[in-house]
Amino acid sequence: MLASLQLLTPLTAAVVGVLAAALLIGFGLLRWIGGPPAAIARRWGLIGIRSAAVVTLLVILLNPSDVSQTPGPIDRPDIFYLLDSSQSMAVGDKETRFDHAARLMREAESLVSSEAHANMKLFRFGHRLAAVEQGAERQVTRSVSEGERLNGSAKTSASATPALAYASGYLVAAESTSTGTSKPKQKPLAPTDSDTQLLTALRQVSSRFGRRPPAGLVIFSDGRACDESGIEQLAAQFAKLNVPVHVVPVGDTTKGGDVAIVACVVPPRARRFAEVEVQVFLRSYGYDGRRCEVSLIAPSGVEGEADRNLAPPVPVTLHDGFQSVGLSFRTDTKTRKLQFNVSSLPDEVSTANNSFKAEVQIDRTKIRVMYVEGSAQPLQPVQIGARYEVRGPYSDLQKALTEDEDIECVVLAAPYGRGRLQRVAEAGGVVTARGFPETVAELSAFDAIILSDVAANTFTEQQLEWLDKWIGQRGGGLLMVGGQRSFSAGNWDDTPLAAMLPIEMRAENDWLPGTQVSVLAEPQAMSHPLWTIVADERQNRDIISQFPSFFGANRWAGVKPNLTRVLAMSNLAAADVPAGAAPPVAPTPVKPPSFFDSLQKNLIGKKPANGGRQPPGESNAKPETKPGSNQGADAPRSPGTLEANASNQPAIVAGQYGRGRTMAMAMPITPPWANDFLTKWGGGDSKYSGKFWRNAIYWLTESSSIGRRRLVVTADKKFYRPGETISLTAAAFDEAANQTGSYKITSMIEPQTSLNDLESNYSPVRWPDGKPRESGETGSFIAWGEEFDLPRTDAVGGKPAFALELPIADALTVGSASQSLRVELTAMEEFTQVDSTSLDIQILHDPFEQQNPFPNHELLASIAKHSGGSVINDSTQLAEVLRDVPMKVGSPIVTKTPLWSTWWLWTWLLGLLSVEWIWRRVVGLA
Amino acid sequence: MAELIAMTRKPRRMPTRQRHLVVWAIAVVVTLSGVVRADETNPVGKSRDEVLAGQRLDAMQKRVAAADVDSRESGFPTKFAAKPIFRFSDPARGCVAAAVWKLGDKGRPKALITTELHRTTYGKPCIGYEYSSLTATKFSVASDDIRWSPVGTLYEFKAIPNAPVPDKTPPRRLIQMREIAKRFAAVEEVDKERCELRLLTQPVDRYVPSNAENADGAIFLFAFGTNPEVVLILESDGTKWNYAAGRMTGAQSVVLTIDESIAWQGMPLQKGNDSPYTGSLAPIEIPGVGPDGSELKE
Repeated sequence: MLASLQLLTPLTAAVVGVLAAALLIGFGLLRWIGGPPAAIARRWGLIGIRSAAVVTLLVILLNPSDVSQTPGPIDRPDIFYLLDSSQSMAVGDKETRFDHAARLMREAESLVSSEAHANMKLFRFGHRLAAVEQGAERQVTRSVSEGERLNGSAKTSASATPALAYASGYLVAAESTSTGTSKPKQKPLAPTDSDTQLLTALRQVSSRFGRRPPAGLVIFSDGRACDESGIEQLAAQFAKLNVPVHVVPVGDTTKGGDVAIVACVVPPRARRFAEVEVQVFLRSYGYDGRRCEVSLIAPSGVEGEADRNLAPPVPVTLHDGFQSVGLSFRTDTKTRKLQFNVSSLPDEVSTANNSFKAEVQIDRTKIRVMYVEGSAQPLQPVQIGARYEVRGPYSDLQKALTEDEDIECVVLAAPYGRGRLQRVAEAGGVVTARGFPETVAELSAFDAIILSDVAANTFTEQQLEWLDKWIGQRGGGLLMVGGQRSFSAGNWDDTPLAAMLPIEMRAENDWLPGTQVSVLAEPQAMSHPLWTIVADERQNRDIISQFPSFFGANRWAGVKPNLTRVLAMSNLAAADVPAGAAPPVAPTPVKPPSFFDSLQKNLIGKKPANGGRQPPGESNAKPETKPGSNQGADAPRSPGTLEANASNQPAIVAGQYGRGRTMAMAMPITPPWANDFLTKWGGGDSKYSGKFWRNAIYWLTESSSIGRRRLVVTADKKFYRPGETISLTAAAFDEAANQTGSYKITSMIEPQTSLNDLESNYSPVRWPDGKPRESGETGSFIAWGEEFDLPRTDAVGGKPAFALELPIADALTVGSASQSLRVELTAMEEFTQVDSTSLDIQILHDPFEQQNPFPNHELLASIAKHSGGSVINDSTQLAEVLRDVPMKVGSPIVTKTPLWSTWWLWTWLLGLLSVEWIWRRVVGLA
Repeated sequence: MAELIAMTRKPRRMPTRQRHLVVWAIAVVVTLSGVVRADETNPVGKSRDEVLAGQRLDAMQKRVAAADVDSRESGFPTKFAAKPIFRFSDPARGCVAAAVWKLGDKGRPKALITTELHRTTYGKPCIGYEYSSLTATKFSVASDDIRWSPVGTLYEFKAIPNAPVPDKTPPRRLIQMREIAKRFAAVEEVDKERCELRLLTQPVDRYVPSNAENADGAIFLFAFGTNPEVVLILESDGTKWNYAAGRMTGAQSVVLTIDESIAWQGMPLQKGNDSPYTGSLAPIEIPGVGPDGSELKE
């Protein structure tokens, strides 16, 4: 606005001159007629006042005025910005395509900010067109890289770097769609749309023109659209409307292709030291037949600290499109952040999508181990500090296991491997009345059982049936270790356990006492978790190579062919007692006191009732030999009694039985047979043997976490694709651990993301055909949180179970290549909950957006050509488009404020006249 | 619960034991006859285990139904709910059947009582009660084997950080509550052993705490196996989500975390009938269990 002071008198100079002359003449005539003023009136003050009044009147006659001028209104035409917000715009390394477009907008606006330019209106398009709010809702955000988006880690950040901030402030999508519906929800503008419908966007934008069409459209896009057909004809229509469509192509067209990790299937929780299988999904384009590697690391998260490889890289031969790669790794003690990487190839469109982050939480549910020890070794008091502790043959293994705070070990001791099993307290002495679990439910509360030197006849047939059921169906773990009452020496070959163990037992007594047995880990089995004693591989190899010798072993007939893995071999023949060497301290000549005798003696100080003699019926720990067996169990063996072909017999074998895991170890684990193993391996604290046992238990119990649940749910696949059907199966167990069909299983589907992030109230799962619906919903899809029952079925192994098939939608609307959802299930007995659990379901799909990473600048150029627009390559050209629009400037607005219209002028004049009058009155003039 | 029982354990006295021997002998006969009767009236298709489970629930139900509740507050419930809100067992700790019962069927329950049938405690079968008051109102519960007059509650509500605004529909609020509950984790220490507890993702009780719009509430449990050890209450006052937690365990230490920050720590146990959280034991005949705690054969 311009302002000035101007004299706007209506009188001309001549008139003023005439008036002045008339005044002077009049004054002169009055003076001539009236004569000079009286002496009393000759006061300079009065003259001054009168002069000031006359001057003021003269000034008023001149009409000085304050004149301000406002420029006339400029009618700025609109330019519509159409910003591609599809996922392909997130491609890019240092700067994504989306960021590139935003930067051009920002720079152009900066260039034209001081001059007249078109009025920009921003729209986003992808799978729909939406206006973007301007002004008050200015936020700072950034686009997300494709890798982040796929990880689901994309977040709005108020602290984004300034370079990524949109100075234009076009940041909040109003969600005002072309259909006119409006939601109050506001989302940060980011390239998240799973589709690019450019043709549709151009059709829809014409409805936003208003009374006057814009001066032009500017499309910011990579040109990769799914509806290219007919777009040139539409562009020609814009030309007829005299609305040129300018295009700003983004994305590098000189690249060779792209390989990306688009999704991963990782279990959200896993047990400690468990082997976790993960599925990595790759999408590649332009590298058909090329090889690369997929690796898995644990990011250190600490600067300067190297990331840790969790699995050896897996080589992959790429083929254009979608492909999957399987990896496995072993969990450790803490929640583990994972990063999957695929090696980058030359000239990739983007390497930001070559990695994918995930997380596995550690399930630290207590592992309960039942350790049944039948060794005849006596109890010994051991002084620890000021107190005595009673140590039995079980103490070393018990201590090794309970050093891990996640393992609970219940010891059951059977004196001489026979008789009633009795529980031993951890502190070592107190023997409780409780023995082997009295119900299958109690047994199911354990995760693993270790049978050491205990004969089969210690257990009833029913207990052995329970073991079969527990391991085969509930996922328990079974470990049998060697001894004079183990394997066929303990008559286990005639029991159900013979079918469960991974080895074939001999028909005759297989116990070979007093023979030095060296054990060598199988080189092919070094990756088995049993052999991970320390983290450092080289040190680990050294430690395993020092695996101590044992003095005795059971000799099996062989290893079962299916679902087994030999972890170690023994060289019995080579370990025969060397000539001249003293035989190990074998138990045969020793007459140990009864287990309970020694316990009584050590704890109570009483002598055993039989004076320490062997109890009646105890035959010096010698197992019953079978007919046909030519060998006494504890008979000292002379060198060379082993057959030559037995020199390489397996020593440790792992296997699987139903849902559970099994392991057989030919060597005994109690003194004196395993003295070296217990005391020498790893020094005085036996740290290596302890870790060895914990490894064994963690491996054995990987499938056992369901044992203590009353509701176990499984799905038929680890992941699904659109159009497939989820087959849910649930098994419920009653208080007695029997599988039951008497409960009601209710379920509902819930999103893995926050409700606020959902675009729909419905899950991508269809309501099963013909299933009655009580929720009141009528749509074809199951609403989030809608409750439904799992009907009972008897089709699962003849046992009562519950099953339901849930078809998935043919196409997903989510932006990423995968969608996770969760099925929440509850077992109800009438109105009482019995158990509840949840099951994660992952759906993978192949959105068009991710199928071709290359930009399509030709399409954009064609649009510009047919619509009369131009191809804009930099911000200067864009600024030129903004400037080069016809603008109408209206007449300036002039505002005049005359001085005489001000109150203070008249106050001044009135004041002068009043003072002059008062003065005259005071001095006595008229 | 086993830990709680251990706390209430009393020194054995031989004379009492001898007297009880006679009682047990009688109980054997009674229990056996009960089982036989059960078998005789066994409904078609029900296994012995199912029959026993029903009888054990009945046994607990009778004890809970016998408890009278008294309070000066008008409208205060006078009886516990007839059906439990949760049933479980903990066979590894000798608990053959157990249930959680709530007091009050409108709004937030006033109290929770857990009943556990223990195969053997002090050498004989017993029922263990665990009482937890959820209200500051004074009330008392009394029956032949229950005496409890809590002076208040240990549950203290706090705002949940970074929680969403309560949704408008109950199904979506349940999704929100479950999402919030999964942010919590619970760990207890029993006899120096650390036990991570499992969240039962379905609330055992859902209620409307007030007349406010979008007011909602649910009780979640953290369990060892299926044995509940920590109660987590989530409530919406219509505008925001709050939580409170309480013990259902006598463990030395019990800690609840949210987003890996400590949200609640269980106060040390307070004995006495007026404690807001306490327990008691009483003898009981458990169907299918002998007087010495052994499993009776069919």
